[in-house]
Amino acid sequence: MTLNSNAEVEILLVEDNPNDAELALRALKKNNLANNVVVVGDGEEALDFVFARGQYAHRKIENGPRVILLDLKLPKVDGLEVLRLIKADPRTKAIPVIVLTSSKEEKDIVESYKLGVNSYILKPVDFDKFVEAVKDIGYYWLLLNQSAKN
Amino acid sequence: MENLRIRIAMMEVFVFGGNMKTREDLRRRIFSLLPQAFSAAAAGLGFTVLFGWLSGHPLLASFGANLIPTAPSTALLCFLLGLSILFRSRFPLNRGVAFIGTALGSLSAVATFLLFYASSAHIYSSVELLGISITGTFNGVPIGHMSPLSALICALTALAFLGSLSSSPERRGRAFAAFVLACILTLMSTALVLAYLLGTPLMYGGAFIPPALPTSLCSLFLALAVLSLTNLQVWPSSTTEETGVARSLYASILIFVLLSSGILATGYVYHRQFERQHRAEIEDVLASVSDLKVSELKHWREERLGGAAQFYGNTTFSRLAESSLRIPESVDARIGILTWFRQAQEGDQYDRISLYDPALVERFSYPNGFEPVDSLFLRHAATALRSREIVFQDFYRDEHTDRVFLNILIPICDIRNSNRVIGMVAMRIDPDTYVYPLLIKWPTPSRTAETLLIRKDGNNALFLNRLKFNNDAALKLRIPLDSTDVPAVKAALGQTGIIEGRDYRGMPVIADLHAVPDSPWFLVARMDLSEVYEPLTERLWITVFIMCGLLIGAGTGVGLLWREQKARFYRDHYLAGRERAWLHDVIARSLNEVYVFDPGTLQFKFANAGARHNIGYTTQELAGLTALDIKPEYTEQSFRAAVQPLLIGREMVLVFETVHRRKDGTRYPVESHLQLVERPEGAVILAIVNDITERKRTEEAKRESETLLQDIIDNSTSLIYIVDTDGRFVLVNRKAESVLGISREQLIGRTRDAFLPQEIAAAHRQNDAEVLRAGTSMTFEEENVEPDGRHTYLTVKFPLTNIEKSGYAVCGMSTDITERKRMEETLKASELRFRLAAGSLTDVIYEWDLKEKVDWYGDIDGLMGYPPGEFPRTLAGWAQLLHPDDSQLVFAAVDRQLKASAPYDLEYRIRRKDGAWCWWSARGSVRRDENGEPFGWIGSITDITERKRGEEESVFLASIIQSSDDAIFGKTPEGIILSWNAGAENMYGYSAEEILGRNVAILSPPDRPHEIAHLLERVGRDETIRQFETVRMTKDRKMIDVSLTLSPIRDAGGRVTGVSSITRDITRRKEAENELRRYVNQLSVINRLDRVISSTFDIEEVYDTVVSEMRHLLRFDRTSLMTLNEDGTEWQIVRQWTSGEAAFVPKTWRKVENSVVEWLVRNKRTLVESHIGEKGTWSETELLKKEGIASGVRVPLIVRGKVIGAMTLASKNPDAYKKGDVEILESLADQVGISIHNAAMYNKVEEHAATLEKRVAERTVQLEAANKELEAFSYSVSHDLRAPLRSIDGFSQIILEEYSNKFDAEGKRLLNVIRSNTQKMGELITDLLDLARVARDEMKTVRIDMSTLANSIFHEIASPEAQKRYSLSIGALPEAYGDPSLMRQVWRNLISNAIKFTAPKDVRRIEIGGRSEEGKTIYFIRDSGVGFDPQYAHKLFGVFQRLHKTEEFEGTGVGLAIVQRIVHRHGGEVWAEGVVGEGATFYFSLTSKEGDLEQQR
Repeated sequence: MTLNSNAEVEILLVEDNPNDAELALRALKKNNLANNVVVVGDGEEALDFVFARGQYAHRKIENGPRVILLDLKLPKVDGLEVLRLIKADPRTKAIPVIVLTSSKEEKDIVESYKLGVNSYILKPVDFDKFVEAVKDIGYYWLLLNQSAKN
Repeated sequence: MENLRIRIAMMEVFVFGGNMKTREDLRRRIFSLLPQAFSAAAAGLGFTVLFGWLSGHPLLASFGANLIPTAPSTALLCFLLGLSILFRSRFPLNRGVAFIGTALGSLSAVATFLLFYASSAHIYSSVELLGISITGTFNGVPIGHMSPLSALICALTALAFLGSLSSSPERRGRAFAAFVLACILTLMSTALVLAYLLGTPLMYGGAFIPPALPTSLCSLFLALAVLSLTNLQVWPSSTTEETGVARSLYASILIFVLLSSGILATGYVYHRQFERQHRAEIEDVLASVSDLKVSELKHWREERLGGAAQFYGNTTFSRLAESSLRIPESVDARIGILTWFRQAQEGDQYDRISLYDPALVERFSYPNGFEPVDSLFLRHAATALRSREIVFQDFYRDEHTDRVFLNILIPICDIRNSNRVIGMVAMRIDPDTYVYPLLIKWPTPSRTAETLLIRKDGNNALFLNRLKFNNDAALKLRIPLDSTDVPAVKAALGQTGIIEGRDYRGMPVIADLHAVPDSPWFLVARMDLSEVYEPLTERLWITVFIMCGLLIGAGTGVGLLWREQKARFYRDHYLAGRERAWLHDVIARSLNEVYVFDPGTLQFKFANAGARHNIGYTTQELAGLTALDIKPEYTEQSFRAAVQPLLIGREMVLVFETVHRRKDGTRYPVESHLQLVERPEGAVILAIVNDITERKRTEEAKRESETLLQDIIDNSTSLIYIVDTDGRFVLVNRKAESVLGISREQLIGRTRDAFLPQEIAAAHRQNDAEVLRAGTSMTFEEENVEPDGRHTYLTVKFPLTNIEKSGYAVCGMSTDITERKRMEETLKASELRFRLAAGSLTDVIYEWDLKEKVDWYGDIDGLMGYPPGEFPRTLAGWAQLLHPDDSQLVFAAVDRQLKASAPYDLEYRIRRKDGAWCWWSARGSVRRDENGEPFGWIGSITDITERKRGEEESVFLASIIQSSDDAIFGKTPEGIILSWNAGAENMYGYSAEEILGRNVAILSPPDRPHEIAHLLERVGRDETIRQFETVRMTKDRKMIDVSLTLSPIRDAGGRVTGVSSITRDITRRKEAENELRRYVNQLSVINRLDRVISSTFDIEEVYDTVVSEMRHLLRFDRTSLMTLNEDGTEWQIVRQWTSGEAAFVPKTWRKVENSVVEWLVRNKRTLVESHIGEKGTWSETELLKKEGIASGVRVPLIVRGKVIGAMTLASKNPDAYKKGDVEILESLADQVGISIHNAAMYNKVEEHAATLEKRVAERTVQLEAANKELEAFSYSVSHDLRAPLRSIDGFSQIILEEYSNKFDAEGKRLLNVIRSNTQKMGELITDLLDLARVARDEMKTVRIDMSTLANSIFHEIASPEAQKRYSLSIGALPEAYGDPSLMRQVWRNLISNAIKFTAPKDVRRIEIGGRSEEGKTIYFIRDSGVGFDPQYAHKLFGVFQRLHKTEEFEGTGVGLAIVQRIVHRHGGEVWAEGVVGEGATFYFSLTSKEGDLEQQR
């Protein structure tokens, strides 16, 4: 998926499993949220994208993304680490991060909330339920648009 | 003497009522202080008011902005009266004060009576203002003048004060009158002040000047001052019962009167307050109602006139009217007019609107219809037409219909055409539509309230509306204007505001009057007073009822108080009386003489039985006598002089000795104690007299005997003297004085050294000491140097002993034998057969020819009781008379003299004629010729029987002392031992020879260096020390417990010259005591030891404790504690103490064989050796002996029949341990054995535990590793295992959605099967993870409210519809301790199970319950579901175990496994009961306490 470097990215989907990524995209699409979604496969790439460095050096940090959907189990840089770095940087900490994970481990949940995650969506096996869960992202969409307007 | 004084003091207090006196004093003090305080307050207030007037601060005179000020005259009067009373009470006896007081009081009384008259008659004089310019009025009366009430009060106060000025007790009536007056005044002023305090000052608003607040206060203070002043005069003392009771009655009545006046005043004021408030409320209502109505009426009128304005001057209407009148047939005009009229009528509710032509013929009317014309109307209409102005025709009664109307008459003019009158519109108003209802309407429910509308109609007030009580009043009822009592009339006369009066019915009413502006109307809002007062009456009854209750209560209370007071008074009196009677009885029966007589007449008033008995007079006789009659030594003058100090108070008690004369004339000496006792009826003299005859007699006898003794001593021809232990003369007789040529005074207190040569004095002293030491009389030959040369005396000396039989002085009686000596010498020297009858009866010279013949020179016959010449003159005859015991001695001595010239000087007994034994002191020597051959014998005998007898007595006493077991010895005050009896020898081990002359300090143990010195010092101060218990040291340094009695030995002069000491050996008693103490000590030590060693498992501590505590328990030189090894072959010493200190002993194992331990192991009993080695010889026996150990005890420590060690005690003393010691040691050994055993066991367990702990730690590490692995596993399961499932499900769904047209139904079904299976797989994974987590997660134990939990979970799981279908009952569940999230899971699984399995049934019932049992709580959930086969009950809780097909009930089969695991983790059990088709019950139990759970974990 190529993107106009100046275009504002609305959703950054960080998912290493291409099947899950595709399912997530479908779920987003079902909720009419699939415009301007960027999918990255590992934590490092996600950080590069967000902080506009490496292969994304031509980007501007100010240009989004508006929402980050973040899997926790990621190659190279772990999802929690990605979350920590995003929330630690004043330029990016305002971006809503939604953790999308199949882990029900309490410590992951607790850790994520400690790091300042905005929401936490469990990836159910049942796709229909997943679609339902993605609907919640719409809430952030709304929030995002409002904050953009403001 | 001291005793007597106390008794007198007691008598004064009790008999003469000192107690009452003090109470009376207090009352007097209070009642002298109170008037001063009150009058000062009144004077101060008066002064303040005057100051306020003078300084221009009238507020100081009124105490409030809206209050009347006190007049200057009143203030001055109060000030003066206050001062008068103050001085009067301050200086009650000052005549000047009394005079000025009388003058001032009389003046005040006169002045105030005048003022009272003047003020009552409204005559105000400017004199009253005292020259202060005061203008202004208060409620219409000029201020600055005295209120008549104040004047009256002041006048009465002045009178009361005058009454109180008479202080003489004879005129008590006046004081009483003053008191009563003061009471009344107090009540009056209290009422005034109370009224002020309650906010309803009295007399305000009346015709008279009200009394001011400062005035009221002043008069209250003045009244109280007079009251307290007169109180004392009326009841000067409270000694008699009647006045006391009466007084308490008066006080009670006064209290009751004050209380009830307070209650009444409060009730009255409260009621008045309420009444005023209520009145104000009613007035408010009336005023506001009439205000409202007036404004509404005004408004209504304006509106009406405004309505009229639409026709008046309206060109359109005038044109229309003109045309319609012009062309009556014109339908248009007609319709036009009627439309106007209809609109006006409908808009403003006119009764009728009509158009008249200028001829006042009605042309149109709405509503239509003909009505005859009223004449009054025509009159007004004409006015209207004439004036061309709107006329408001007031209420009138239509003469045809008799209805009341109002009219607005509007002339219609043609404005364009010179204002020609075209016609007239009449708008008729029916008051019933608006006005009357408005007037009738009353906003609050009221029976009588109404509003009247009045118009002045000629000389009448005309009522315009219908009335509540007169429906036909409108325009008919009129009341003449001269009945000014009627509110309507007043209103018509223009008065406004609230008034009271009588209404048209003659009923008293309250009304508010108002004129209605712009109208001739007056509005009266009125209400019957009866209605107004209705609630007040009710309230009044309640108030009266309450007040009655309070009054009864107060009366009862005061009555009870009075009764109690009275009872107490009588009780006090009774008790005091009884006490007095008792004392009186004591005094009356006393054998001491007690008299009471009058100090003036000296006549007797009382004499007790003792006195009567002694003096011999009867009471009646005594009553006629005076003190002088029994005191013959005194004349009246001298007696009065003697008692003068008492009367003038210089002496409290007079004590003197005198003589009393009995009735029979005999006299006896007495000691008299006189005391002046103040009584209310006058002072008396109390005399307490002791008969001292006996004392006198004894004194006399003693003096006589002393004189006699002195005479004897002085007249003796012998020298008699007494010297103390220091050799100082204490007594010498006259003979001694004359012999020594030194006066008695010079001799006393000095030693012989002062006048005798050294060596002679020393010899005398030595003799003295000898006598003291021997404690018996002795005879010495002593020499004295006298002015005429050296004299020889035969001196008998004997010790003077005190009560303890130790000598404190020596008495010597010396007979001058110089002459005799000289004669003897002469005889010896000249060897002349010189027969000489000795001057003394007792001395006889004899001559023996060495054969048979004995010649006696002297009165031997007289001496021996023979007739002259009959005493044997032969040797044989003499020898026969010798005492058998002595004859051998005598002949032996004679033999010795004959053969060896040994001195013959001995004492023997010889029989008198009468058979009595007589002691002779015999001397003699052989006479030899030139060749030395004996040819004769010459000698002398002295009868010393008398002396011997004395000696024998002394010897007898000494033998008693000697034979006493107690150590009895005498010593000098410095402690030099002078005598020493056999008891002392036995006790201390010193013989008399050894110890005499040494200091007693050698008997004191070294650790008490100062004790003896201290004791001696005390004795030196003439103190006797009895039974002083201490320790003394014997010669062989053994300590003995003794009880000492030390007494001073005094010389005749009373000086302490020696100390006698009796020592009793109390070692045995002490030992017994010590034994007991030791036993107690041992018990406590054993107890302590027991506590310590049973509280510790540290074996070393047990050893230490045992051995160190042993020191307190038993005496030993060595103790050791030894233990055996397990198989009992070797032993070692684990602790050893030597002589009270821990000794280091290397812990080496030694062979049991041949050691004493072997004996102990074999015999299993204690080995006691009084002497080491007596019971056998062991390997260490020799060693012990070498160490000097002489005896020992060894006790085996036996636990469960096995010897595990031993304790030994060893002492260097043989036979050191007694049965008791052994018992203690044995009991200790039992304890120690068990402790050592326990400690050893504990150590073993500890070791095991340590190993176990280590193993547990290792296992834990392994387990933790496994757990980590499991955690990682489940983490990846949840992540990685689910991802493919999600993909399968997700993509199947996509296929179903996006490619559905490519699949037939079977294909879609199969895809759905895939999906459902993947989802089920997902569920399985979730459940398995849950199961794993349940086992893994850490538990947080808290208290859980299970009822709430179960309830919330049911409502969480079941949908609202489901909740309706199920009947759930949750009983009261006991609280649980556990992890809340796990417990939540338990309930969730159980409840969802119950819901699930109950769903297919018709009756869906779920019951949850629980109970507490011992140490656990059991919960259950019972459902009415499909149940299960009990034979599979055990399978229920297995993982993936299902008892139903998946088609029937969905589920993974993990839920109950999770439940089981959680419950097990909580230390509980889970089980189930069920019947197929009948339902199932699942139970689980939990431990009921947090601690239990912790323990289980």
